[in-house]
Amino acid sequence: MALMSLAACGGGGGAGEGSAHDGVTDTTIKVGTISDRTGPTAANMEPWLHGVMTVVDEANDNGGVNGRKIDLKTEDDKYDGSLGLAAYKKLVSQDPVVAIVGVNTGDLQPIVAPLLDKDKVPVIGGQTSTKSLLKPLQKYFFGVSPDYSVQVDVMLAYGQQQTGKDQTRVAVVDNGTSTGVEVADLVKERNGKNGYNVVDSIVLPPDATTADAVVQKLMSDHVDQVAYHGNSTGVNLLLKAQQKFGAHFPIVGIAPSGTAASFAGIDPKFGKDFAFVQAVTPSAIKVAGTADMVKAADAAGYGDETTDPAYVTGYISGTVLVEGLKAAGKDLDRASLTDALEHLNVDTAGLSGPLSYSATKHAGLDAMRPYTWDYKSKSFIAAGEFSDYSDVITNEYTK
Amino acid sequence: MAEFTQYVVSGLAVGSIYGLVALGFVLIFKSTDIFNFAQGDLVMVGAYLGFGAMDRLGMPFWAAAITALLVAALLGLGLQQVVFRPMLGNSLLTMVMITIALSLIIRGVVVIIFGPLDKTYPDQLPGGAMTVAGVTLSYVDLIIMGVAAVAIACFTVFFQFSKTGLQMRAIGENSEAAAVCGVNANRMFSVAIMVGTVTAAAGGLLLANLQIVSPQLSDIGLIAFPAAVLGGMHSIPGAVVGGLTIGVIGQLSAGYVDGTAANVTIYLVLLLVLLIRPTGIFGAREVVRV
Amino acid sequence: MAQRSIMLTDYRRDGGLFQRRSSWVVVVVAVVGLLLVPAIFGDRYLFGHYFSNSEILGFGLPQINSALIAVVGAIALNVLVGFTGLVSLGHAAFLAVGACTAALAGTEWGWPLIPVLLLAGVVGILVGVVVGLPSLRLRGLYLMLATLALHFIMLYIFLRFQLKFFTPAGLPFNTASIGSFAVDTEKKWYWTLIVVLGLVLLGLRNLMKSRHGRSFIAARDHDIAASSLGMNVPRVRLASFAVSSFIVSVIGALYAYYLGHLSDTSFSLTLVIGYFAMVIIGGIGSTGGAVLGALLWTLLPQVLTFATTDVDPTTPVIGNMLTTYQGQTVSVVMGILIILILRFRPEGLISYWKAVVHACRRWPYSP
Repeated sequence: MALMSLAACGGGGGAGEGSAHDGVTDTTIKVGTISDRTGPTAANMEPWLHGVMTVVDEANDNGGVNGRKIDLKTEDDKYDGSLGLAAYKKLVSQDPVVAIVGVNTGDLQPIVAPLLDKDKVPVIGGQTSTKSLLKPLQKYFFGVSPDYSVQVDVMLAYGQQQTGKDQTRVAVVDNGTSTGVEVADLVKERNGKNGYNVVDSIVLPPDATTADAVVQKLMSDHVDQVAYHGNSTGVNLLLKAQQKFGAHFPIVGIAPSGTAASFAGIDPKFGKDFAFVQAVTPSAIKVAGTADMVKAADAAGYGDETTDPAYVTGYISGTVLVEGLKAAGKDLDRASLTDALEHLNVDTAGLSGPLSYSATKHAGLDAMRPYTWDYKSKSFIAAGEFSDYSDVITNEYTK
Repeated sequence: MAEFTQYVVSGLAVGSIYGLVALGFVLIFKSTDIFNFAQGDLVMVGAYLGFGAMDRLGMPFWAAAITALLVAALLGLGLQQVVFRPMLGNSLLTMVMITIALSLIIRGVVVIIFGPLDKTYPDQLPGGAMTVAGVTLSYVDLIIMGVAAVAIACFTVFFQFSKTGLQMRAIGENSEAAAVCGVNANRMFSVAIMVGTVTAAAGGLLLANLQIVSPQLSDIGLIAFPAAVLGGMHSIPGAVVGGLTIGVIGQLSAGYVDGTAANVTIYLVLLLVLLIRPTGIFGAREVVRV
Repeated sequence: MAQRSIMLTDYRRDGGLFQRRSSWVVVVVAVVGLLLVPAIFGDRYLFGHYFSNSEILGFGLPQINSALIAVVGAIALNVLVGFTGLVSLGHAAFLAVGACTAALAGTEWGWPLIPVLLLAGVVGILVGVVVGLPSLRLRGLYLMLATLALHFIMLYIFLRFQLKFFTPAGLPFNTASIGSFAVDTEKKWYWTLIVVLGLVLLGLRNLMKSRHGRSFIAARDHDIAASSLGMNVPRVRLASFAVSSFIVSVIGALYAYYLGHLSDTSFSLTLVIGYFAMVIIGGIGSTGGAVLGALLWTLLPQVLTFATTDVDPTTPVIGNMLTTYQGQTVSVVMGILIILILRFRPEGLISYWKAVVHACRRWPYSP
């Protein structure tokens, strides 16, 4: 009895060294990240994290934000929702942070979504923005990357453009996971619009060793364009199979499918058939902000990752964080940061399309463009400007 | 009909790698009774070793492949001496757990050495394909099938006709009786595990030409189990036949049903085989003394 | 004080909860410990002392709650693998069944918690019996492979179920509530899980002391002899599957409620292998071992991660490894640890505990 009451009467200020409130002391700001560092999607997520770290290191090297240094607490969720949830809870109450950057694992987002209103901790997005955090509008989530509906819109439009036809037979190839089904459903919803005739929905599992069967189906169904969901391993298989059968279906893939590895080992005549959509600009394409990004990357030790779109996305996530912290001012806590983010307008100097948040708009970037690979210079080339594709985007999740 | 044949041929190409992996797996199982859950990870190690040789040492593909196989042999020897030898004689579950722990270690070490990003082989086998009678085979497919066939042939010759092979078969049948006849059991176990590791590494090198090199390559180990069971857990030619069959079944179901169905079909086949004829196509019925 | 061995003169005493007078001490210590845990790890305040994050090794109630869920799962797996000797990789399938039932009954039909759990258990029994059918023909390795196949087949069915009744994003779950008591804070979850754990331990202890429990062990050790004595071995095996999957489905439903949202990727082979690791490291055939193994498997990586978080990157050799590749290093260390434990103590961690207890009881005559 006595023990229970003793146990119950504690817990006022909770954990924390000194007089920390929401992870903010006079000298440090604690910020947490949750991403897959050692699981199956680590190849995409680690560069993203490095991008965030670059911005944080750069800010710290320049005296910190409003006199405080940023202390980044990275958590690894290994692509597992339950580990991600434990990490989230840790960052919210055990080792409190003022904001969380990431929550990149698709499965984690629906788990965390109902908790954000209760915990009131701002979450800055990373590579993934799923419907659960966007619709209905989640006050504490500030997305960075565009969601799948935006990606699908641009994917289908560019694919059709490549065929030169107005009416195209569309096939969607996904990896059979829940996000794969989401993308396939999005494509099928667009059947009948813009001349898209969705004839096939094919699954290429993540552990497949060959995509021969998929390409055979595409050939026998006389498909004109392919929308691809999956990772670089899958699209590489698809391209190799196309090369084998001499097929030239234009394939446009979601953002994570676009890495240098996707194009490797393919004859350039067939490699040019693949493009992926992205909302950021890798460093091979020089824009105003490229020089600063490369300089900061070299200083942080990630100089050779700036050509990776995942890294650039992280760089932008980090920029959102630092700009938000700066705007929140000296009186920094979760509430003031949320408020600052909600009025934030970030100038990414061409590294992406326009990025701003408002009380009704928390989705982040919504401009994307396709990228292909130049085998001679071994770098990505962009197919147009971000604004070129803005009229095909329907913003289904965030309308 | 041409479609069907194409699926079969594609399946045979993929299945030769499965056969190679399953062969190493069955060899280890038959000689040492160890159910090697880490076989897939050894395949991955082979692919990464080849990558390391080409990327860090600048070797061309064939030289890198030979280096990788040699290093894999040493790795197998090391595993036998350090991990397996003290553990022989333990129950099935304990041995399985050891291989699972090994799997964890291997995956961690590979990423620590090579980093988490996807890798590709800088030096590729010739691209292009040829079409014969309506059936298309890429040159890579042909090379893979050829190398796998040669490897299996070498292996069979070694096993059937050489003295060491005979001794290994003896150990596999009845280790005590073989020891009484003067066969050095420990050395045979070492050879078995070394050969098993080398075949896995060879599979990895071939696989890396079909796919991107990533830690996910180890998933192929899970296909080795149905292949081995189908062929008979104690039969080495069975493992090869099992691998080819699984490859064909996988392609046929991916083609006629659905991509996700491919995996499930393979496991349904595994289940049916286990329920109807657990000893597999080539296995002999086990007689157990009560 | 050297304790003489217990002499039991009737079944009633054998089946009783406490066989020694000293057992009461253990119970009191355990209860005190249970009460202290939420105080230390939850509120972080005890007797006027605030615990900093480093003092409690970076743990919090969420980790403890996840560990408790794993403990129940491991205990249930031990019934199958440890007591009855049936190597089954179908664990994730039963968790999924529990989650599915909870999604249908709890979210769709709006049932309160306890009926949902009971329904999950019943469905679990049915599925368990079906999954257990191969065990009638197969032993050891072949049974393991058959259940491996069933694992993938069940996952496929789960994905189809998820897509048909819910969204591609996954299965949502309401807050668990028993009447008006809503389990929505970590502390409430802790106590709910402790109650569940207590019930499971109690039920299992009674079961294993009864002839049904003994029949499990007989089926494991000497099935031919047992059947010659009239025991219906196939029925016993199915009963073992039923008991184990009942518990696993219930904990699967609780796990689903705890997370609030699940999809097919939550039930991977890695999860199953993890549970196997817990049972084997802890000691096959021992409930206490399953508890120890589960606690070690879930909590040790956290401890290792915490201990290596603030390592200076300039430390030779391991410095860079620990900062850049912390996750991988922790996995490698866990792997090495498992091999060492199995090499030197194949009977599992519980043997250390037993050795300690043994030495205590025999004192001053302990070796």
